[in-house]
Amino acid sequence: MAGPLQQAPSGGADAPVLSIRNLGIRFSGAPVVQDLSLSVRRGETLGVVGESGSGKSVTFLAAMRLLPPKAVVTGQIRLGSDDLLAMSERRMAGIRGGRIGLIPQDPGAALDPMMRVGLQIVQSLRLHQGLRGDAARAEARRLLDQVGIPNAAARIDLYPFEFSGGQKQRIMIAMALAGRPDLLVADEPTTALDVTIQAQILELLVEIQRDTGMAMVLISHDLGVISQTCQRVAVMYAGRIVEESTTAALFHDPAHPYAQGLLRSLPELSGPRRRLAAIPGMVPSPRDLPPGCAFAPRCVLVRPACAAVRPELGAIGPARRVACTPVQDARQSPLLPANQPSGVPA
Amino acid sequence: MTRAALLAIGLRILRALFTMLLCVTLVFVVLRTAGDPAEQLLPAETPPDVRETYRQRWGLDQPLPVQYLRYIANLAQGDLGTSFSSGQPVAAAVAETLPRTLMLGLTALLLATVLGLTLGIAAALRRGTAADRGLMAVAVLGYSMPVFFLGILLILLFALTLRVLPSSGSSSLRHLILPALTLALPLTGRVARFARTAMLEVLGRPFIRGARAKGVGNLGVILRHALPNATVPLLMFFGIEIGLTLSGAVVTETIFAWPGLGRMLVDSVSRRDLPVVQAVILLVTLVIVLSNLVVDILHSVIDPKVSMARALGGGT
Repeated sequence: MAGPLQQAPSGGADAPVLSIRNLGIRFSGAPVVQDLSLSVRRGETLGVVGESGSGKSVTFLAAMRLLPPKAVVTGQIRLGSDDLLAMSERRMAGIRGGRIGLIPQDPGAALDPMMRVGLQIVQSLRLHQGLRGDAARAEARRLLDQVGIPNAAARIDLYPFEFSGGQKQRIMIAMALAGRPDLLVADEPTTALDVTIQAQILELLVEIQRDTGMAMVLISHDLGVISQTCQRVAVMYAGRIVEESTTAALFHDPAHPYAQGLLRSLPELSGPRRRLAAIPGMVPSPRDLPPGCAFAPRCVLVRPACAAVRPELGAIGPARRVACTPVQDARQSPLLPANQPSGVPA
Repeated sequence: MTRAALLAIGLRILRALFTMLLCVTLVFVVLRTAGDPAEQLLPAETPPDVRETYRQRWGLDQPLPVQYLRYIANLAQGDLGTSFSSGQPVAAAVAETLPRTLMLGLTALLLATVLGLTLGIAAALRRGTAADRGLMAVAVLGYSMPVFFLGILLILLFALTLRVLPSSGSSSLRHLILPALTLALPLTGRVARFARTAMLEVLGRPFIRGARAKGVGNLGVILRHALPNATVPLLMFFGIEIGLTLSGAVVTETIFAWPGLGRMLVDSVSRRDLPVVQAVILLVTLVIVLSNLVVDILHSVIDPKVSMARALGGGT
């Protein structure tokens, strides 16, 4: 399946930290993710947008091999030069929480309610930094300080329920940082939080990323969150990437009709007041995906051919790919190679 | 421990004492309305005046409230009364039998806990496999089978067919095996099923994936995260099961002629030996109330949320 251009990246400065090739995920036969390729480089933040069920979280859970055993995962996921899908469970456990950190959607539920927060951070430090005893405890305290937990020294021995939602998310971030990750996957990190806290948490993530230079993936259904934090965006629909672009280009000039619909459904702060547009129809279930384009039934640009032939993700500009035949026909420049993942420089 | 915590525990003890009083009173009233022991215990041809003498000796000639108050006053001083049938102090008889029942009950409880937890957790970890379904089918069979039937089956197999174990008596540790097994097997089934459910519930919670996402290995996830969180429901379950085990002991002891509280209860009920019946039920109640008290206190020690509510002067 890998052509000459899709060889394993050698460790150059611009080599992707994470690269996913032709990922497919099936849950008891139903395709949840299909033919998905993307990559994230050091210091970069990739936003992954899509409705719930579009496959965005599942993709990265597959990268961490945290999906239930009934999930069938095909394709290739590489972290640096390591093949994540092929390695032993033992090595994989060393990568989870180490080179790949995960910040979950609901920080309240992701912390063990019966374990003191300090110990939960120390656990990570023990596993990934080999720190023990007082050294681990001091480092845990430093991390709590770093993520902005006030009075960390006194609160290190409290239980999760004694912290607010925003503080719990800060603790989760501290825990992820304890592994000094190359890649931080933030799965809807602010969905469960108050709006005022959301901004603080995003700011903290951006700041930490700037300081550490790690790669970050921000999964969200909130375009506002994506526009503030990400350099590049992948828009997912029904288990596939339908558009991949720089954030500026996407927000300025969305190409895929679904991306256009998403942006139109956002309220604008300036300009004339208008009714928010909703995309008519529903996301198809993975069990009965149409043979052609999955978005065709809801699409404004739909042509008869769309329902029969599934569009491939093709380049329509530098670092820009879209999976929509009408759009490709209208915009595609014949000089650009198709099917080239934009994360990897050609 | 803080003062608030001590106060909360004190309140619990008071509540436990109140439960005891309620139970003792209920037993007292029910027994007095269930017929005259003098009719039951003495031979039919006993002359009426002799019967009357016995009534006076046992205090049955007094009005009920007087009997009751006297009984409670004696209890408060630790006097369990005198057996109608043997004329011996009940306390001495009970002190002799209680350890035997405790030995049987605790052996069964220990066996069932170790075996049941292991099997239940193993089944939870192999959820949906043939091993899981097989284990659970056996567990259901284990606790659906009536104790007397299971006891007789075990006697048939080990005592009559294989002739490896004694079927009755209590003179050696080997005598303990069959009654303890009879008592333990249904409990093992219940523990296994409950442990599986509790474990699956915890394993489905997001912090388990959180721990795995941190790089904690499978064994670590089970031992450090899943088990501690399953402890609280398991503890509650055991609080109830200890009482059920004791009631199972009544039947088991009768089958295997194990001279414990259970058999003493059956014998004394059939003889209408009221002081003994009252004493045995009092002790059984005491064990149940005590085990619940211990469970409550342990719960507050284990669960940070509960102990915190306590320290803040919250619920009792």
